[in-house]
Amino acid sequence: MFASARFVANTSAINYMLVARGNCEMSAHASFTRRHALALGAGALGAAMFGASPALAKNDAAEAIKTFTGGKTPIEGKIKLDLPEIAENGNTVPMSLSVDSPMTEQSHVTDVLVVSDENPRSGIVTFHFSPASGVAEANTRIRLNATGDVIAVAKMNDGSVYMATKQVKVTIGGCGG
Amino acid sequence: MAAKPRIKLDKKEVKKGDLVEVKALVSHVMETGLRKDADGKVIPRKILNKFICTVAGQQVFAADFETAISANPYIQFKFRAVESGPVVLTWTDDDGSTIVGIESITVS
Repeated sequence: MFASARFVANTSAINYMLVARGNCEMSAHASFTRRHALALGAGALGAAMFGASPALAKNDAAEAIKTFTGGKTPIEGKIKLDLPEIAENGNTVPMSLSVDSPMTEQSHVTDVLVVSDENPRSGIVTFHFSPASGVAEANTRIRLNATGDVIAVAKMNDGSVYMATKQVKVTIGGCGG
Repeated sequence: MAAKPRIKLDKKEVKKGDLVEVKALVSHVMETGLRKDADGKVIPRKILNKFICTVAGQQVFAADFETAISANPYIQFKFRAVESGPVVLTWTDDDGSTIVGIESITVS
């Protein structure tokens, strides 16, 4: 009896959260079903729907990277991209990024592009460093809409390009974009 | 409306060449332009799209924010202290207004 009462309180809290957050664009038509799924406490079903979401086509992440690198193919490495394996709340996902570089006039990182391949819009952030930065490190909090890859691409002053990818599982989407 | 940003430097008196860590938090909705209100109307985009940090007039760090930056954006970065002076952090809104926070460092 007590347990079921708590259950009701929980689900209504989730419901409230979703309503308060408003509708995501991608779920304009799906939000109702999703909300219902959650309200019913069918967590597994909800997760499956998040995972599937075939209506959400891949965004222009690949294109954004291409524009950023000027057509060069990035090499894996040099970048340390730290994100949680599982993000319970896609609205604020802590991200920490560092690029291995001496940051001298001769050799430094100029720009780092971070994109997501599942958000409605691919771009997350672009960091601009210079030798005055001393070290190529930055932390921020990002929004992720669904389980997918976060890709960081770093451009060096000599024109070389490096990249790192990290998959993040998102439990509740952040209406990102 | 534009609340004062909260800025923290890990040290304010440094030796030349030391790294200084900056943490900054500013309150802003960072509205993506993808959400809809109760009437189904799209809430227009309003984000801080640019962040710049200068120390003694020289830019040490900058970032272009997209809509995928969380509300109340938090940013943490480091810079190498070269000379004493103001540490100026500027966020630029979509509507052109800016939020400015100023700290200072002393380099010995």
